[in-house]
Amino acid sequence: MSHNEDELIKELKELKTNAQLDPERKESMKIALQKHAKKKRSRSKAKHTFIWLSSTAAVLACGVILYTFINSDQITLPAGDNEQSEEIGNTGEDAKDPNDMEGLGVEDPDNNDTSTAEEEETPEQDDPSGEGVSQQEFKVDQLGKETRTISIEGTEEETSVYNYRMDPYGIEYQVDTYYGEYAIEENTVRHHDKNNYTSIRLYVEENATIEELANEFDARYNENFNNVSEIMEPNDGENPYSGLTQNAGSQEYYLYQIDDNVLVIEYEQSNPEASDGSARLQTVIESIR
Amino acid sequence: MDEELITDWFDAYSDDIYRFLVYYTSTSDVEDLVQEVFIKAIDRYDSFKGDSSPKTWLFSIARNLAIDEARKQTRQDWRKLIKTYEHKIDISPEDKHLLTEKKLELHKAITKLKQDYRDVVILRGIEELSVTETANILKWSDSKVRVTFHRALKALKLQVKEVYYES
Repeated sequence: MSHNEDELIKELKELKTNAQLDPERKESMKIALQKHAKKKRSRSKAKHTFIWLSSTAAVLACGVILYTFINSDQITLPAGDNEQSEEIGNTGEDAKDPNDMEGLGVEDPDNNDTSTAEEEETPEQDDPSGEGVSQQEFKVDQLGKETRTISIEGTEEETSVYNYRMDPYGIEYQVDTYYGEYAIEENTVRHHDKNNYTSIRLYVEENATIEELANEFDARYNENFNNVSEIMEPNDGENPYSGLTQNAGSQEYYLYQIDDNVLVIEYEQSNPEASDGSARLQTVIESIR
Repeated sequence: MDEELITDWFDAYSDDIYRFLVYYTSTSDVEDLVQEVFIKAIDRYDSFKGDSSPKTWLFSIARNLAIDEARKQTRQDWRKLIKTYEHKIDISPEDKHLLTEKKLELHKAITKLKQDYRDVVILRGIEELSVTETANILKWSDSKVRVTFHRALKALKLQVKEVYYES
């Protein structure tokens, strides 16, 4: 550094004064600053409180909206509108969890069954009068799939069957995969083939006896059947329940006394070519437990 | 920012800030600016990073305020500024006058420097802040402070020669 620069630096240092703020002025400035700091702090606190409250309000509002949204998704149609609705099951490869309250899947989109609906109805909603309806939810769960040998017109054939359980009655049965679709219609489960040519309806008449129902069924199927069969004791190879059978080709019904209830099985065939349906119905009859 | 902290800072640095503003604005009427520096410090306390010292942070606020003030201010009050030196040294009236004139010319020369040079001359040369402190205030690197200060002195020498040494 040159001599001139050193001299210049020295001169610069000499420019440093000892000037100070006036003590009185300093004191008043200090008070003003303290007031400002206090004001700022309370404003900041109020701001934080406001932000906190508005965030909380926003979260609550979102919660309420979400709750309302979820709740509205669970609202079912009025009972009157549900008369035509049914629940659709799909007997695909994946068996449902037996504890699954839904118990049902979505029907194959290729199947144009117009009498389908997506939501499962509670028994109370299905029948507001409560007549003949269990207080517990009627549901049918698919439990799994297995292979079974059946006899069709004297020829043995290996086929796959699905296991089902009907609750709240705890009735278990098997249905041939030929009846690939199933649906809940009020307190009835309806299994049918993909073309809907044949169907098996199962339901339970609570606190009833076969004798009480026999005449009613006789009257209902009067045109189809000439007489009502005797009540048969269980045979070997069939289910272990006393039952009554009527068979008239395209229409059949079976009544089985299971404790205080009667299990009703109705078979209907709308297309004469679908004669396999009746043979495969036997699987259902034999498997009832 | 609580009242206690701003009071501590004010007690510790208000006179330094005051003097810095005096040099920077070339007037001793800077009390309001000093207060404004501390008000801004309260308002911007959330942005204060603990890695720099409160002193350098306050100086950088003061510098920004001084730049704004210098833009507004068209006339420097040299007489008042020089009065701040008057009672410093007990010397003869002639010498005192000479010294005062010399300081006045040096001040004038500093004000004629470009912004960067003026900054570094005031902070390093007059306030005698360290290179690191100056770098923190100006947000420069240490080496930039050194180089700029060296260049600023050269420029100042030229200015002084024009204003004083040649007179």
